[in-house]
Amino acid sequence: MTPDRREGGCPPRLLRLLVRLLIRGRDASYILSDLDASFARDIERGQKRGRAVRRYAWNALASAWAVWTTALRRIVTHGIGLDTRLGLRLLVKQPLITTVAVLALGLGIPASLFLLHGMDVLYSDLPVPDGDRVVGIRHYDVELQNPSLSSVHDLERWSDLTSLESIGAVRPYSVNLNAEESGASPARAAEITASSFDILRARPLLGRLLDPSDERDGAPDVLLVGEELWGARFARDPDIVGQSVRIGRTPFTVVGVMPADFRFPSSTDVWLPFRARAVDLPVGAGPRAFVFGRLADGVSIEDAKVELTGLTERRASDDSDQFERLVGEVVGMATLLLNEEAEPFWSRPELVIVQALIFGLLLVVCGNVGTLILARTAARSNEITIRTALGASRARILTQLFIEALVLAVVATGLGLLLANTFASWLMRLLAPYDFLPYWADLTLTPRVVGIALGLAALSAAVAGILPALSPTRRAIQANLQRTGVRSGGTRFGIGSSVLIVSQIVLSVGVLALGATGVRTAFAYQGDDLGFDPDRYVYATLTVPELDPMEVQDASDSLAWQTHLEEIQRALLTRLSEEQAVVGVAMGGHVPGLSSPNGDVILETPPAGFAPVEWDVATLRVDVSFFAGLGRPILAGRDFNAGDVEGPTGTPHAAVIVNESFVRHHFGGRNAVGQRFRYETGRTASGARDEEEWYEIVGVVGSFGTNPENSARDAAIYHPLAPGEINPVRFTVEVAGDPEAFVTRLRQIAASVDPVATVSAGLLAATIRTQSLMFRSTFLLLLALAGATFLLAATGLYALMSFTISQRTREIGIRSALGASTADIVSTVARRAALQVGVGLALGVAWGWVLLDNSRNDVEVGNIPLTLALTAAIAGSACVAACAHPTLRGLRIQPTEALRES
Amino acid sequence: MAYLGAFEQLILFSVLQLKDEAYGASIREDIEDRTGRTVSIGAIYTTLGRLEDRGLVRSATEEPQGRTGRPRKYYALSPEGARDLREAYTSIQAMAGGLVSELDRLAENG
Repeated sequence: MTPDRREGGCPPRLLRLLVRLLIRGRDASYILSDLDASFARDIERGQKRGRAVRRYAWNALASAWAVWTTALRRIVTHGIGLDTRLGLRLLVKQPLITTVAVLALGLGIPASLFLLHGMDVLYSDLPVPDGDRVVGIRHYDVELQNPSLSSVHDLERWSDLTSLESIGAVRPYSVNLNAEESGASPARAAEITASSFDILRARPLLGRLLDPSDERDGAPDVLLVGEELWGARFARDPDIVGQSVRIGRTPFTVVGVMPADFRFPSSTDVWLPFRARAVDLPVGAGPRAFVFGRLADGVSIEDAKVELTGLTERRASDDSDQFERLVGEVVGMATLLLNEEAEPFWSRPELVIVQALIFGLLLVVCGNVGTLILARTAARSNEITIRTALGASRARILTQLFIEALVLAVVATGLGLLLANTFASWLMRLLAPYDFLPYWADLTLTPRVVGIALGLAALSAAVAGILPALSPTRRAIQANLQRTGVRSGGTRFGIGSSVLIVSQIVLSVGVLALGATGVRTAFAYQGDDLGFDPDRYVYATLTVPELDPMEVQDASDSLAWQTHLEEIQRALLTRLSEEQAVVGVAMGGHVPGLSSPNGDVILETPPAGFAPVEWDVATLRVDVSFFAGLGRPILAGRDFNAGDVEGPTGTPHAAVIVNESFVRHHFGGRNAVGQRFRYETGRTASGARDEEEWYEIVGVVGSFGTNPENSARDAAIYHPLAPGEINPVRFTVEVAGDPEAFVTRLRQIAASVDPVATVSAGLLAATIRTQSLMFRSTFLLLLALAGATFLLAATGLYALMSFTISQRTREIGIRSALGASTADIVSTVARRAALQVGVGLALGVAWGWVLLDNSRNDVEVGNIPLTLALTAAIAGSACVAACAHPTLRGLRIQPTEALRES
Repeated sequence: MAYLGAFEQLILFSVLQLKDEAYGASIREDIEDRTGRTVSIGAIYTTLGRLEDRGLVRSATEEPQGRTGRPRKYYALSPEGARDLREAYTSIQAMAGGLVSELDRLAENG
């Protein structure tokens, strides 16, 4: 069996070409040889040529497949392990690149998923068995472009839907629990149908659930309490079932305790029977509720949508006035409870644009890391060339570089995710007391977000690892080998890297200037800038429950409720002022220290020779005794009096008081009393004001904590407020002694005034500090981001300079030998970097100017040229420092050494 | 001892039979001649690659000799390959001992 015997046939050239296309490198030649020999043998054995050709083609494809799968298996089983070890070794060997890349990717990748994860968390299924089968049902008002809350009529009509195995409704609100004993302290309550517990597959921890008989008129008043409340208010009393607790003035019997993980629908502590009946109400009226159900077995959400649409359309034809603008919607429970639009994330253009921008920024970060890796790849061009000469294919080299970058990206992403998860846990603990997040939202990382992050890490590794390596690995081995002798890999930084470095300097100068200004503004506030000491104050928000629509018979009922509201507010104000520990008390729509600018004004007669500053002012509503109550002196003009709030409730009152800061910024400190102004169209903020209305300044007070974020921007306008005009209303109480102890006392007083009205009270200083912390954190984060961007730019410059020096060692040596001066050599090696820095700083200063100029309302920008000059000087110095080390290395190159190397 | 599949055993025996002339086309031809089975050359390359990764065969690519010569990738059994093949063959023999006539009888009687 010799090969010559079988080499008579001649396969089609096209097939041979196909083999060469499918199989690259040295494998092609021996495989072609084998295929040709097999073909010749088939012909020799008398096979028809057509059949032999088909067999050749089949064998060619099978051989190509065999070569690919073998190569892939070898890369996976042998190469990846080796490359991973090499990648890990490089992490330790090159700490600068590792630190910068880990910082950039470790922050960049998790940060880029913030929005996506947030949406995932908010719109996740409820944490109940088969949570994805529980759906919300509601109307969408196409005219108002808003989801419309359902009425009791809707609940009864939708009970006929066969797509749902059962239907339930829930109505959340706040109540006072045992207020007469322990003081007014709101608890989150919900009226809920008995069917809801079955829909949610809920079981009680103690006692029983609510059942349909509890919903009947005249049934005993019963309730369920949550495990958390059972622990906090009843010390986990095992005999709680059967005990009586009071909601407002009404006693209820506890029939069960719900487990801690049942907080439906909104961090709820108490559940009461749902007793609203549609029969008592006109169509569409009555208490609003969330209606939901569990999809019947085998029914999809689409089936339910079709059935609901049919029902709504039939209803619209029966009662077009009421229903023609309403569309039936079946939505996820989170969408229902958050009252959000039903469209999924990817169909909301604004979110998609934001996410695309975030991914764009991540691409910039990858580009930066790519610049660093390019410098590293360039420095290793000799190694790459030699490996190529020893038989490594280009794909093999690229795989190696990809895996090295992947190791870097995965380590960075892993650390970043760990950090993000820790941050998420901390944030959840921080926000827990405020019920800021829906109860089902768990911010800690989900498998989905970890998977996407790892996918992004792989993508980043491809962008940062493979793209920079495409050029150095493309060159012919021979050419590279020749260059190897003269220490020149032939790799170059292109225009892309210049654009990247310049754009980063621009970005970082602008953001550094803004971040630094913001931090300076935020940290300038020390508490005493507010014009009062917040440690002495307690604040309380009083909410009187709205009138139950089922109880409204005629207009007199509404009027009675309005009178009741006014009386409660007045009574609480009086009772608080009578307390011995109270120094002063005031009522208003806001609390000093917890407001921010929200409007802009037009003066009727602007002062001659003075250009009013176009800053937003705070617009606040205060009781006529506000300033007297808190002992704030009127500096000019007069205080409010009862006459200022005369007129029908809800009409704007023309008299206003402004603060010193307003007078300084809008009148240049001249007398403002008697002057008039109106609000800019679209900028009116709080109620009872008309943008066409002119307001007259009747008095001026000292500045009094209207903008704790920026004490220099605290211009404020105070509008008078009559009791009963707004609900809820806020009380500010100055206390002599321990304010914390007074919070408990305040709750007791509120409960004695009206056990039904709810009061949330707290220490003003603590709340201001939290607000201030959030404000400071924002700017610190901005500064950190700017710093990280700048670090990347500086490292890019360092990499560029190091690379330039290593590429031009021989040239520098020759120039030195020919007598070139230090300046000449510096100019040779640093020209490009200097140009990049110069252009970057110039554009950065220009952009920073625009940025600061547009941020006057948010931060105290101060002297913009000085700020920018300082920022540019710091940035420029850092750039020079980044270039200095490689340049000095260039200057130390000895002619003899350089020539010997060549 | 590593497990050897039936096709792997066929290839290893063929490499052993062909001695210095064991390359893709000749192995395929040898198996087809001896067993009457039609074999894809791709399957042979895949199996040889796997056997090589397991250290059971060694390969060497020879450049073309003379004007009409062709490049070939020749394969040879490694000591581990020989040991594993011997073990596999011994196992089959041990299991099949005295059963060939029984198999013949069963096959003929349907």
